[in-house]
Amino acid sequence: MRTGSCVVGLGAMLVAMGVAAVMAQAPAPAVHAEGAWVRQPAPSRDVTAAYVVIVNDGDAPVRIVAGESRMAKTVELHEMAMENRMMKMRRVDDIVVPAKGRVALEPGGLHIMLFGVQAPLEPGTVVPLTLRLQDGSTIAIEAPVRAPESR
Amino acid sequence: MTRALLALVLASAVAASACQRPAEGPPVYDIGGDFTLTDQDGKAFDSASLRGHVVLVFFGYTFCPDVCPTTLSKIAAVTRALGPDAGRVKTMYVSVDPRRDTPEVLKEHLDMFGVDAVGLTGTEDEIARVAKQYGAAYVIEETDSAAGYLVSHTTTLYALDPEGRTRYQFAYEASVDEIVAGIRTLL
Repeated sequence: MRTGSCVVGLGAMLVAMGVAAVMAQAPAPAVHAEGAWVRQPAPSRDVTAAYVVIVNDGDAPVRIVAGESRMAKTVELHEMAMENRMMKMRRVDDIVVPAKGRVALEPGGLHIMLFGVQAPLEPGTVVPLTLRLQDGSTIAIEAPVRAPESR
Repeated sequence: MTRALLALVLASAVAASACQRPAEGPPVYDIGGDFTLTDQDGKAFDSASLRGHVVLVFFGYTFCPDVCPTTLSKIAAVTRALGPDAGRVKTMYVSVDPRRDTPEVLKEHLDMFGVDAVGLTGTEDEIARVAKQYGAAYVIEETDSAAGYLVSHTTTLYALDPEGRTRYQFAYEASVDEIVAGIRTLL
């Protein structure tokens, strides 16, 4: 019952998003990032996660295949998924953003992992991130660091 | 529909067999119980020392930058929502990654979240025993990621009553309000 209404709600949201995308008449570039942020790591940790919504106003799906940042040694695409009752984190090769759609990288789901980050990442620090698409183009992202309490 | 109903009936049957229902309040689950591990100050910590408090227990690891902080942030929000009653609620964060989660690492991690939690680690055997007591599960998985290995783990948040009995098993999706309401029935 609850699942049913949730699916209907999601459907309505997707339709609304589709309408909004059509009305916006996408100026170039067709793909952009919204609401990016990086989780503040503990002082001695050089690993953290970044989150962002990728919006694709274009007519063709795009595939994010890699990431980089001058503030992290390694950037990887990861996903959390519930499997056999367990929350499992795994690296994914790519993230597809559907045509005239969006993909939310958010806690508990898809996210960007930053390894070997240059400390200190404090609230307000802006982490520059570049996501690379399969066609060779890139999405530039500025992701401010957020303290844990604010989430 | 029939299948969903069957699943529901089965789940109820399992729940009924796994717990006994006291005169009032939520059921008492047949899992959990006391244990001793090492706390974030490197001292032996006996869970029985929290008797008289409602205790939240969960299993996680600090290297995990996604789900575990989300749970800690949620607990911080629960604490805020409890207001003056928060003093009667304690949290035990049991690490399922004792190789990386030394007492120092746990201490730093918990300080950052401002959660009044006891961070617990131990030998791999000790951790395995406590996880088993609570019906929690975890698997260490080697990966090709820069992370080295990652730990898959169950995300249940357990709530123990002041007598140390397990009364709630909140799923990862449980809201702050749901958890606060549950805790209030135990205070």
